[in-house]
Amino acid sequence: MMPSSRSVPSSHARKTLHILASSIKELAKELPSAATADCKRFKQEQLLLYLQGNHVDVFSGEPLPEELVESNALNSFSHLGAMSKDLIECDFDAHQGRTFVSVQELHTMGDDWCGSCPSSASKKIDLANGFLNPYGCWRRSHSSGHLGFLLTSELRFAARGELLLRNSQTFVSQTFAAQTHGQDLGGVLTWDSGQLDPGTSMVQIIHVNVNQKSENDELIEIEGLLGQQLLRSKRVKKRTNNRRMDYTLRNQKIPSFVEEEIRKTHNRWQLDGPSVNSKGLLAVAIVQNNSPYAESPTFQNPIRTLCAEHNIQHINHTLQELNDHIKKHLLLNEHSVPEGSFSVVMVLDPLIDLGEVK
Amino acid sequence: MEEDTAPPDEIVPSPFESVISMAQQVAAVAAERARRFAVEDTKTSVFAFFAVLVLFAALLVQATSAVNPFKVLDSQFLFGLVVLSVFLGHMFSSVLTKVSVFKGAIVLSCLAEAFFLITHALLGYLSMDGVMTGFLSASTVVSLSLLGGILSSDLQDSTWLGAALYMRHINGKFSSQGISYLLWDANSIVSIMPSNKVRVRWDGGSQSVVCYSGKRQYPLSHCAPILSAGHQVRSAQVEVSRLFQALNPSWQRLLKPYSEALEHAEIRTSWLVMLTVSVHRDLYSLTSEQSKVSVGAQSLEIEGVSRSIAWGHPRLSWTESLNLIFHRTEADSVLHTVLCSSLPDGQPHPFEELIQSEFKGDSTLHHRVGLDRNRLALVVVLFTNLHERRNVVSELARQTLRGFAHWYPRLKRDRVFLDCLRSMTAQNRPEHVVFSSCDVWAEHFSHIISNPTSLYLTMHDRLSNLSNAASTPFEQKALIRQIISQCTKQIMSSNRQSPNPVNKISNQKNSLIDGFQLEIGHKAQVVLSTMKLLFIHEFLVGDGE
Repeated sequence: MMPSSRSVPSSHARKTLHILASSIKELAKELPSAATADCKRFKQEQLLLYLQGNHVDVFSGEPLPEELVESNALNSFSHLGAMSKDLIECDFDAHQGRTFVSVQELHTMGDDWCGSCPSSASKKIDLANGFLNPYGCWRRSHSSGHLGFLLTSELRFAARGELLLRNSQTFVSQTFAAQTHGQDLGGVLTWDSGQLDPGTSMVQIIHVNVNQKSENDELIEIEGLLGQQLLRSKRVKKRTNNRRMDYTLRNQKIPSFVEEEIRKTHNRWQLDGPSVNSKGLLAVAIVQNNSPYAESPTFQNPIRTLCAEHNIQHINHTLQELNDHIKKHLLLNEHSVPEGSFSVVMVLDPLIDLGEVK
Repeated sequence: MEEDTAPPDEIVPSPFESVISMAQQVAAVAAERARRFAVEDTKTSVFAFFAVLVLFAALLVQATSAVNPFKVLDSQFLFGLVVLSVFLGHMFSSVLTKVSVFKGAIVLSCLAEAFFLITHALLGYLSMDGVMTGFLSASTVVSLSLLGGILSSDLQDSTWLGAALYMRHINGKFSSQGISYLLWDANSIVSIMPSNKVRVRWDGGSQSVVCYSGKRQYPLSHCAPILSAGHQVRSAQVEVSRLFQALNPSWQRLLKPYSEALEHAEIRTSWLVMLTVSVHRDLYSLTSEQSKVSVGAQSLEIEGVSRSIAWGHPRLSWTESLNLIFHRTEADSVLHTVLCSSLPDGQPHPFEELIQSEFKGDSTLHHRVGLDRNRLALVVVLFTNLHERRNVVSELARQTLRGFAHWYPRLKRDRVFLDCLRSMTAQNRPEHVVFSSCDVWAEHFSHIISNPTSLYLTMHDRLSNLSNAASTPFEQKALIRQIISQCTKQIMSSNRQSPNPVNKISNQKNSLIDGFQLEIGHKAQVVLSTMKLLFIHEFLVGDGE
C-alpha cells in the first residue's frame, strides 16, 4: 500500500488513534503480546476457555477463593485469578509484603499496580540511552511486535494562519495492518524491514518545521503568475499583506496548538486506549535539530506546565543526542527533522488487558 | 337388573347358504377381475393363450372331423381376409388391447370359436353348406389373424390408456377449478400454461410423462399445478390429489406415473422457490417450523410480471429428492440439480449470471458464482439437518442457519471482502467455477457438531498459518484477520452470563473443571463461528478438505 498524504483536521489524528486502539484491543484477544512461549500458550489456552464457555470478565468476575488458588488444582493459565503476577513477568516491586498477587488483581487494582508502575524510577523513558519501552511484563512490553505502532504527523500552516496536522505515515506490523484494513486510517504501511523492534511501542510523532517556506502559499504562486504577465491585482496585494501578518503570528500559535494536541491525545488515550487502566501519555519528548524556537521558553513553558499537570514525563533532546536504535525505531533523521525544526514525540501508554472487558 | 352376559348362540349356516355365499364371493372376484381386465393392461401372454386355443381347436377339427369347415371359404377370399385382419391387428393393436369393448369382443369370440370347433370335432354337427359353417370359419380366421397382428406389434402398456384418462378425468377438470401449470424450465424461466392449452402424453423414449404446449414439450415434473388469484399464485397439489383420490383404485394405479410426476413437480418447485427466491430474499424464513404449509408469499417474476408466490418447504429430503426426482448426486451443483440443467457444473448457469448481473463480464464472476454455490450447498445441508433431526442437532442447525443468514449478505458487501475478491482474481482467474458441494458441507457439519471446539481451533490455526504465509496477498490476510476477530468477539460475547449468585463458588469451580458440556446457545455460537471460518477457508483455498 502507498502511504496517503493529506491534510486533515487534528481530530482526524485522534480518529486514527481511536482505530488503532480498537484494533489493538481486538488483536490482544488472541495474539500474544510478549515473544515468549508462555505468553503464546496463555493465549491458546485462553482461546480454548472462551470456546468452552469458561470466559470470566476481568473486572466483573469475582476473585477465586484462596484455597482453590493455593490447592494447585488449576493449571497455570486456567484463570487470571489463578495466575501469579510473576508469571506474566511483572517486575513492579512496590508491595513486597504480599506473596501472591494475581493477574486479575493487577487489572482490578490498577492504581496500585500497573497504574503506579510507570512512575517508578526504573521505568523512566530515556531516548538518549535507548529506553523507549522499559517494561518487561506481558501488559506493556509488546516484545512480540504485533501490537505497537508509530503514527507520524506533520504540522502544516493553512490559510489565515490556521494550523493543521497532516497524517504522514502509520507504521504497524503486517498483522496489525491486516486488522485495520478497510477502515479509514490514513497512510497505513507494513513495518519497514529496515526498522528494529517493530511494533514494540505506541508512539505518535508530530514533526514541526517553523521555517516552513512560503512557496506552498497559493497567493504567492498567483502573484508570480500575474507578475509574469505584467498584471497586478489590488486584492491579491491586500491578501498578501494580510498573509505576511499571519506568518508573523503563526509561530505564536504553535505552542498552544501543540499543547492542545498533547492534552487531547492524553485524554483520549486515557478514555479510549487499549486498556481501561491506560494512563494516557507516559512521556512527551521534544527532539530538536538546532531549533532555537524549540528551546525558547515561549514554546517550552506551556508544554512543561501541561506535563507537570498530568504527571507526564517531559524530555528535551537534540537529534544528535538520540540513541541510534531510537533514531531508527522512530524514523528520526535529518530528513524527517531538518535543520531548524523539531519533533514532538508522544509516548503513549502501551498497557493492554489480558482478559475480556465488558 | 342383572345383565345377561352369556355369549349368543353361534348361528351355523345351512349348506345351501354356504354355497350361495361362496358363489357370491366367486362372482365378486370374477366381477373384480373382469373390471380389471377391462380397464387394466392385459398381458401379452393372455392374447397368445387365446391364439393358441383357437389354433388348437382349428387343428383338432382338421385332424378329426370329416367336415372341414375351412374348405367352405374361397382361397382368394381367405387370403384377403387374413391379410386385412393381420394388418388391422398390427395397426390398431393398442385400441384392440386397451379398449375394453374390443378386448372383450376378441376374447369372447375366441372362446366361442374354440367351443364350436372343439364340439364339432367331437360331435361333427356342421355341414359343408351351412351358413353357420361359413361364419364360424371366417370368424376363426379373422380372430387368428387379428391376434397374429396384435402379437406382431409393439404392445404398449397402461400409459397409453393413462394419458387418455388423465386428459379426460384430471386435466379436463383443471379449467373448471381454475388450475393451471407453472412451468419452471431448466433456464429458470417461469411461465404459466393454461390447462386447456396442453396435451399430456407418455413418452416411451424417455419413460416419462411429457407435457406438450404448442410445439414445445416439457417433462410433466417441471409443470406444477397452481391456483392463481390476481397476482397471487399458490400450489394446487391438494386439489389435484383430491381429483386423483376420487378415481377408482384401478384408474389410480393406471395414473400413478402422472400423479407422481405432478407430485415431483410440486416438490421441485418448492426446492426452486427455496433456493432461487427465499435464499436471496428471506433466508431467515427457512428456519421457520412450517414445513408443510406456505412460508409466506414471496415475489417471483413470471412472464415478465412480478407475482406473489406462496409455497411450502420441500416435503422430501434433499437426498430423497436427488434419488427420486433429480437423479443426481450430492457432488453436483445444487442449482444445476434443481433446475435439471444439462449445463456442466464448471460453467455458470444463466440464472447465476442473472443474480450476478451487475458483475457480468467482470473478472470476479467465477469467484462470486463459486461463493454463492458454497452458500447454497451449505444452506441445503443446514436445512436438511434442521428438518430431519428433531434434537439438539436440529436446534444447532437452526441457529447456524439464522446466523449465516445474517452474516452472508454483509460479507458480500464488506469492503475487505471485496478487496480480497479483486486480489484473488488478479492473482488467479479461474476458467471454471470452483465450489464445495453438499457432500463436502455435510461432512464438515457432521465434524463440527461432533466437536465444535476442536474444529474451531483447527480452522483458526489453518487460517492463521495462511495469514502468516509470505505468499498470501495482503488483502487475504486482512479478510482472515477480520473473520477471526469477528468470530472471537462473538464467541466471547455469547458467554457473558454471570454465575448464579446463590452457588457462586461451586459454579465457578464447575465452569473451570468441566468445560466440555457446552450450553446450547454458546455451542451454537461456536458452531456458527466454526462454519464461518470453514466458509472463508473454502473460499480462499477451496480444497474441500
